Amino acid sequence: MIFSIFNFQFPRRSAPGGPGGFLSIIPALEKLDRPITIFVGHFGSGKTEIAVNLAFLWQSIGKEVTIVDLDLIKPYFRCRLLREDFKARVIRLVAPGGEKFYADLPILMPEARGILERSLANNERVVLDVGGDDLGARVLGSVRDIIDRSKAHLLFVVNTMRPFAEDEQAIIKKLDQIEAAAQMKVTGLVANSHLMDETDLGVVGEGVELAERVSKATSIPLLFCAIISHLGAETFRAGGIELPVMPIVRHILPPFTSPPKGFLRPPSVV
Amino acid sequence: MAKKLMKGCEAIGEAAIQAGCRHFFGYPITPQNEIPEYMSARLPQVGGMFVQAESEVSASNMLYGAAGAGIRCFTSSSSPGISLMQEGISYIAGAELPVVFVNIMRGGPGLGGILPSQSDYFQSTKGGGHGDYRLLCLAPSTVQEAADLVQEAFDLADKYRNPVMILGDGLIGQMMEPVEFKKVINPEDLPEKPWATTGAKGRKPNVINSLYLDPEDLEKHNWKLVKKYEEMAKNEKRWEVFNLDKKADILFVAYGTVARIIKTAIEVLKEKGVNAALFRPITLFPFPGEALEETAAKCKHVFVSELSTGQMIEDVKYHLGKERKVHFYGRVGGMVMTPEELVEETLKIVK
Repeated sequence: MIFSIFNFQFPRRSAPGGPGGFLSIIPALEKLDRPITIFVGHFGSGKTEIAVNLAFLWQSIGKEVTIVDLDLIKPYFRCRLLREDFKARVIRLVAPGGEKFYADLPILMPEARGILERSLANNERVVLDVGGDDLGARVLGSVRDIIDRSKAHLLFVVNTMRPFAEDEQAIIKKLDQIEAAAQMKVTGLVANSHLMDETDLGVVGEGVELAERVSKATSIPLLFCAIISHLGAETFRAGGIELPVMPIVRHILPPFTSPPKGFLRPPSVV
Repeated sequence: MAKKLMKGCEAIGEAAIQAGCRHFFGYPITPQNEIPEYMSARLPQVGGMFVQAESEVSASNMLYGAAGAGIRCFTSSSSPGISLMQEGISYIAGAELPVVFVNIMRGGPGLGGILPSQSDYFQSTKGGGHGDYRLLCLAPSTVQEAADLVQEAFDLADKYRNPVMILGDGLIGQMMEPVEFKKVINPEDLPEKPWATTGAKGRKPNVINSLYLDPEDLEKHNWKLVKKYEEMAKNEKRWEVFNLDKKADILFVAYGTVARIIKTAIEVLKEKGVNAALFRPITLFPFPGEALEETAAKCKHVFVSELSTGQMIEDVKYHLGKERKVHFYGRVGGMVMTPEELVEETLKIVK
């Protein structure tokens, strides 16, 4: 069944939605009781922007946050490009330094392991942005000795507008492959169906409906849905589903946006 | 077909499939790995064949064979990989074979870096390989346009029996945008190629060859190719003019992603009281020189911007003549200009 756009009720924010005030996502995040959140999913499902938005949200409600760029798959548009923004918000970024910052090699720097270990010891919130597909998730095997599985949520991001993620079977197959590669079980689903600037609530609804079916079939809870912030949705309600909404602000944009953000600004200090 | 959210690379791959292409031969290189990755997943689903060759050199020779047998085939690579393919490209041009090449450019020379660049303009439009030949060269500036041009490239390659190059900078391959595929071609519905080497049952054998030992024959062949390039120049020039209302203070000339950065800069310049226009060549060969001339005549200044140290500017200058001053702003090595940089440079020129 495809939801019609008219079935949705999206309560609008009555005032500027400062985190902590009006966002339904905050209580949902509080329920993420484990300190580590790892995002996995199909290639291009939106893990990076969700990881960045989550790091910013947590920082805004007073948490100490470390974000780890473990994306060994895509060469551009990685969260490490936001290092100045992270610095300004006192969010620790773990990513290759020096000229390896720009490389697309499967490397996790030894010093990165050290920082990760310290963050975990300090009980900080740690967000891991992992590359797409099972190939990207394989890197989790290399940090399995420092990540206590009982302290980590493995969240699977689904954008049903992407190739190879259009139906339930394809999504579940990918989920299984990722679990096998990561050697961890997915603990939650995140619905993230969008078409960038052409996203409408119909696209969002279709995605939530499909993610909900995956949730039923796998018994993995659908935790929240991500919706581009300009649509102004605070809670998703349709067809008996009610979900908190993470309003997504796109941070890693191509260079033709003005002012440019997050693409190839020369790094000042590593 | 409903819209999908796709990376440029994925859209290029899907466009090839929708154009009836079922054969890909290639070798991985960043930033276009998503094309072979996509094709390796999709081609088996549609009864096609994906071959990862042992090198770009062999991939280009596999294309020679496949195209000679009359089937639609394509490959993709990035700058250093395209360099390796030049031998095959020259042979394919000499033997008049329709093959679609995609170059998602990265910074060079040499191994360079993996970030976006436009420094293969000369290679794509003025040769690259040896001999008197030309590639039909198309330069998309959005993911949708990349998909559309790839579909068209297969038709153009067949029409002229000539290799076609899709030239995109790394960003065209890596960014994600909504895309739809406007036409779907079934390979069985494609017209027969009477020149192809398909077994010679009941007919005289066809020969696919680029070797001409007799100089008279080779000279004839070379002039025949030139006739074909002239036909392309007559029929296939494509360009876009943006924001030109009668007259402009300044005309930007740019292709690919740079043209999009300029479109943003033009909006910023409007607020500053500067009326700027853009001329965007879509075919780099044949270069839409006459249209550029006509457009530039309506603009006070001309400003070329490229992700190179200045390559397309030579064609711009050739068409606008020695008297016309042409300003230039380039970023290289994988650095990309911002709209603000271009605004600043423009203000220096117009003030």
